[in-house]
Parts: sequence; structure tokens; C-alpha cells
Amino acid sequence: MRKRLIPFVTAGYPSRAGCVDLLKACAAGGADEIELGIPFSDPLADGPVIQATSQKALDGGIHTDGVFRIAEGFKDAPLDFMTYVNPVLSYGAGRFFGRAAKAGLRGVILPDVPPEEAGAVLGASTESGVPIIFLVSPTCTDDRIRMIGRLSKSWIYLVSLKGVTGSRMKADVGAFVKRVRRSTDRPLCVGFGISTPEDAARVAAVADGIVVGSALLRIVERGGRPRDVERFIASLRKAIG
Amino acid sequence: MTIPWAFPDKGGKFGAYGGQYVPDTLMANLDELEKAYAAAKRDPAFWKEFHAYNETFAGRPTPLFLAERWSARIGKPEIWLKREDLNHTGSHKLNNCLGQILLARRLKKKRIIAETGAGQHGVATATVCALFGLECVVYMGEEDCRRQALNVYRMKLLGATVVPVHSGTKTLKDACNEAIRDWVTNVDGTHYIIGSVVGPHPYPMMVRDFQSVIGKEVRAQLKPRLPSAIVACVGGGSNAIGIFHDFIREPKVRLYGVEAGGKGLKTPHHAASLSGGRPGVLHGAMSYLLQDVWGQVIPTHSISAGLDYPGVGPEHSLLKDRRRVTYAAVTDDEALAAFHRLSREEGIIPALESAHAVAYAEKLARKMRKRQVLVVNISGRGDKDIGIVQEHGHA
Repeated sequence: MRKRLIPFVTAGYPSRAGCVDLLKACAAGGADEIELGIPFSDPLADGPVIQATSQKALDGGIHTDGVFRIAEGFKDAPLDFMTYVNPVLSYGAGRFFGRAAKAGLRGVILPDVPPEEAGAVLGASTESGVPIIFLVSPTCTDDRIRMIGRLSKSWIYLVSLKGVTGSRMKADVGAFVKRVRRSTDRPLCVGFGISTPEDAARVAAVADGIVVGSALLRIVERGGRPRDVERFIASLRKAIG
Repeated sequence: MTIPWAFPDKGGKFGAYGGQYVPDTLMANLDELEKAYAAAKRDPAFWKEFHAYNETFAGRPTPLFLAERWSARIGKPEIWLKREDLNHTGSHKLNNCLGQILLARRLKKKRIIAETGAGQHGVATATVCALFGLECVVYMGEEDCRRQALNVYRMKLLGATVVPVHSGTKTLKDACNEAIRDWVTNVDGTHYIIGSVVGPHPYPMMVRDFQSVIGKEVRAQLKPRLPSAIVACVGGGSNAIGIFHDFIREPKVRLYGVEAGGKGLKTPHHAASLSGGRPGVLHGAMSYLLQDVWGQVIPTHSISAGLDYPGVGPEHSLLKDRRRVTYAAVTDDEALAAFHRLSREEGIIPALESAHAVAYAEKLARKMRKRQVLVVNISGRGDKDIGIVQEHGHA
């Protein structure tokens, strides 16, 4: 089965138009779906790269309506939203998920909403048909993995390591994926710390897909162009098959 | 008639507030902490140890002092000052740090992290780490490091590593973000000593319990009388919850929380979350929050670094909605005037944070009656603020 390649792009970074160019580059490079990040002022699950791109996007004036307009205008690949819970609650969970459904969003990832707190958004998600994509980390107990599996209507986001986005991947991802598989049959995509085609190949050998964010945005932070991003995504595509 | 008050509930909620809005990685640690604290709470030996260090190391109980000249000038209630400024390290912050470090020892954690704004909590954390020989890392906004250089040096003297935080607004909220990121990365051997009644469950409950020693002492010190009113400043709100908690069930005791009004609530330059914010999620909990229409947290301003925080403890949000506590704000200028007045009238230089409570108490006292008792929590001493006060040109 084709492994899912899921790049992450910060909405409004490096500019509104520039972010659409990055989305197109991801699709052209072979992305199956793309995470569009709605920037938040206090991204506590993110490392330095996504902190910086989020801040720049916010400084550039991006807001939730603006991100919706980007999503509504982009047709090259399916999108997920990734953001923190406060922008969703502030927009109104019902209104947020309703508009996401109309825009054809595949899912919403909220790293500060564990299943224990999902009540705040689950009703709106269910009603809209846009699922919440839950995260599972290496410290998650088997009981909680089963609970997350039951709540999940989409793939599950495996956080490869203890840490924030953009950290260095550890060697024991395979064992972690196997442990999660024993407790759920949902598709498992791994993110956090995947930065090279070698990382990608190693993870895709055991998981159903990979998520790549900081490594992609680092290319742009260092002055890279959309075609450099496309090349990078294509190299990951080739590595995971 | 007493008011029932059994919060938080089992899910860590104070009504709609509180909770555990954190990355999955931390859920196991929070669960471990919750269980360890529940066991410690039932264990008399834990409290015996806590009280022993409070007595011999911190110097508790702190005095309750009758401010005679202030009371006489107003001519209405007796004004009593709870002298947390006399607690070791110069503020109430040590009460919480002592409780949490004893818990961290039970959990066999070898490394302690903390965030700090003004540096008072950082100094208190560095102090208890020195006391027990544990590694200590304190996150502090770059801007606060500059404003509170003396406290940075105090922490280093005590053996702590101070990490300046360059992200976001470079103040307390960003220091919290960075401490949480450290904790997510080093979950196994690290305990995070949060400095106020904020953050994910069980912190707001646990910090409240450790700080509630303040109110319990006030009750014993005033016995058989009860205060008519208690005033405390509110940033995250730990000194306020600490002095309120034992009196929440007493409907006759009126409680007042004073937020940082900065340059005025009508300007964007304040830090009054309860007076000027609306519910939202920051640092793991739902509570009143200063945010824009899109839910982005907005930069705050206060002359007092310790109140310069866009959120507030979730229990305060519930106490506000239930109208059990009256929340108000005083401006930078009012706090500065109170700072000077208390210094000259009573010989006590209060922290700028506490000066907010003093300023509000001045107004409240005028509306009270003779022989009533008004208690003001002097949560910390003002030595750290001398430079800021000098910059404002008063003498």
C-alpha cells in the first residue's frame, strides 16, 4: 500500500501568497495530503523552526478567516488543519468545524487536546464529519492508546519522540509503532523529527505514513525557494515508495 | 451557613475551567504527579515534614501586623498586614516550592525546572534546590532578565542555571512555554515546579493547597474574630488563593482580588485577565485569558513583572463567575503611590505586586466601618523593585 506523505506548512508563511506556493510545491513533489498550520501565539508543542514561522505569519497579519480562505482556494491536494485549541474555541468550535467541512478538510490536529479534553470539540467534529486526528506519544499507556483508537475516525498521529517538533529522531521508532499497532488498527502516521529521506524510509518501513514539518520550513528559513521544497518532498516520496 | 466548595472535581475542573490541555507526552507525568500528591496529601508524615521546613527554614508563621498609622489615618476598620514579605526569600513563593520539592523527592526526580517572571519564584525554586542538592534550571524571558537583573544573579548564586527566553513577547508567558517544552523533552527525570495556581491539573489544586498555609495562619492569628474583608493581588493568583482558601466557606468574609490595571483598563496596556479577558486555553488550562478576536494571546503590560501575565488560575475564574470573590484592577500609578505610602507610613516596602492590594485596600477601607477587620496580603517585599521605582522618578 502506498505510504502517506504528509508535509506541514505554516499558513501565512512566508506570506499569504508564498504559503500557497509552498502548498503547490508539496503537492507537485508527491504529497498525499498536507497539514496547514493555523499559527498560534503560544505553540508549546513546537520547536524553534515552527515557533519562528508561526510568529512571522502572525506578524504578517494572518488570522483564522485568512487561513480558511487559503484552504478554500487550494485544490491540488487534500488538507488537514493543525492548530491549538484556543483559536478553534475562539472561532466557535461549531463554526470552525462547519466551515472546515465545507472547505473539504480531511481532519483537524490539535496537539494540546488529549482525548480527556476532547469534549470541548468532539461534538462539533462529529456533527461536521471532519474528524479530530489524535496524537499518541511514546509515554502513552496501552489503555490510553485503546481509548484514542476508539475515538479516532481517521489516522493517528504518532509523535516519534519525547519532545517538540523539529527535534532529532530516536532509533526506537519501530518498537513504538509495533506497540501502538497491538492496541489499535487505525492507520499510523509518524511525525516529529523526520528530516531526511533516510529517516523517512526507516519510519515508512513500519508505519503507514510520515509527517514532515520543521525540516521543510527550515529550507525556506534558509532562503530556499518553492522548487527546493518540491525537490525535498520528491526525495521523501522516492524514499518511502 | 457555609458555602460548599469541593473543587476541583475528579477531572481537574473548576466548573468549566481548568483541565489538562497539554500534549499527550505529558499526560503520563501529570497522572503520576496526581497520584503521588494524593498519597502525600493523606500522609501525615508529608505535612509534618512540610511544616517543619516552613518553621525552621522559611520562618513561618509569618506575622500578622496591625498597621496602626494607616488604620488611624482612615479612621474606619483595623487594617492588618499579612507579612509574607518576611517569609524566607522575600515572598510567599517559597511555600509552594517547599511543598513541591518534597513531592519531587518522593518521586525521585533529580532535575527541577521552573519559569519565572519577576524572579521571585525562580529564586524560591533555586533556594529549595540548593537545600536538597537538586539540579535547577529556570526559564526567564529575556526582557524580564533585563528588568530583574538582581534576581538573575541571586539564582546563579544559589547554583541555578538561568535560561533567557527569546521567543514571543520575551516575558513570563514565553518562559512558561519554554519550561513546558523542556518538560515534554525531559519527562523522565524532571519535575516542573509551576510558580502559581495555573497550568494543567493537578497544579492549580496542589499549589493552592501549599499556599493555603497563609489563610490558615491568618485565621489562627485573629481568633476568635474573623476578618470582614481580605485583599490580595492577582497575577496567576497564588498568594490570593493562598489567603482566601480557608475563608471561601465563610460567607461573612468578603474577598477581593486585585489585578494589574497597567495604564488603565480602557487602554490595551494592562494585565487584568479577569476584568478584561474572556475564557480561553493557555498553558494547559481553561481560564479567563487576554486574547484577541482570533484567540491569539495578546501582550500584557504591568509595572509589576510578577503580575504581567495574560492568564489567571482557573479557580479564580470560577470564583469570579460565582461572585464569591470581587475582582478589580488598580493602575500602575495607583500601585506606585501605594508603594510609597506604605513605605513611609508603616516602614514596610512592599513588592509592586503587593502594592496593588495596598492601593485597593486604601479605597475599600474608606467604605468600611469601625472595628471591622481588613486583612491585606503583603505577598512580597519591595527590594527587587527599587530600580523600577527609581526609574519612575518618585522619591
